[in-house]
Amino acid sequence: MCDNDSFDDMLEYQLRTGVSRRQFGALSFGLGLTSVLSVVDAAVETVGAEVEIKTGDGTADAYFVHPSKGKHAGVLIWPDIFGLRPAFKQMATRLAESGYSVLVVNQFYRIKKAPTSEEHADFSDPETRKVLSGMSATLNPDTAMVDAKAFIAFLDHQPSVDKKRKSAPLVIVWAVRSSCVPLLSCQSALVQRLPFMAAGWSPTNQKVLIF
Amino acid sequence: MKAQLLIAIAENDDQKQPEAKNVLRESFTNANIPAEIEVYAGTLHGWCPLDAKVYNAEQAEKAWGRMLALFARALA
Repeated sequence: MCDNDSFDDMLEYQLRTGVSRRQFGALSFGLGLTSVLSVVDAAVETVGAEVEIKTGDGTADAYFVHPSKGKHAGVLIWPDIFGLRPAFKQMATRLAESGYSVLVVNQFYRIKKAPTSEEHADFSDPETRKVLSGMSATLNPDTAMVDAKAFIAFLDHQPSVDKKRKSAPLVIVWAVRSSCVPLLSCQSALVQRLPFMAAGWSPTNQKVLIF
Repeated sequence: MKAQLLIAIAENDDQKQPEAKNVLRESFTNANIPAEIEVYAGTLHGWCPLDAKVYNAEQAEKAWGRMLALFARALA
């Protein structure tokens, strides 16, 4: 959803299937998560809360959800260009139900608090596209490093997060432009704590970067 | 680097850069880093988030399952 080519493909897909994002949203949220997500996870009871995290550049809003009991591997989710919103909170909760302590962040906190896009935002609307692309363009390797350090530090201080080596934080990357920057910018000191942030794909010169 | 990776590629992204997956495979193989790299048939860029226009339930579930498998393996 991050570039014009992908957008054109989306239009084709919509025409083919006749399903709009709004229709799907109504369907999925109306029926509830479990009916949509068919993979059977061993669901555990979870606790979730809106949180604020101080970073070197300000205060980031985020959602932290974890199993009610015990210590678990930490997972950091960097959303796609539509930002922190109910769908990503649902996905974070589902992951927590599988036994992870999950932080999903508003990566655009420097601009505004979540939600950072309209509900059912339509990338085909030129103004929406311009605004979202502009927000995405404010992120770069420097901001990613500032944020990654703060978010990982937050996870490290949570009683529900297991900091042992084999439970180091993970990163799920959902979309290239708004979230690949941390992959491209990790420094060696951080790599030991961020095994999943230690490689990246450079779209400009089409090389794999391994740190 | 001690990472293990899951790289799930949309079919239309693969069509734009068909060599990318090969470069990825070769690079991670040479670096001795386990990486599962797969093009998901019939998917369009951004098919996993629940509210995406191009959400593909079947393939999103597959990717989610592979992610859980990776986490279980890597964090055992």
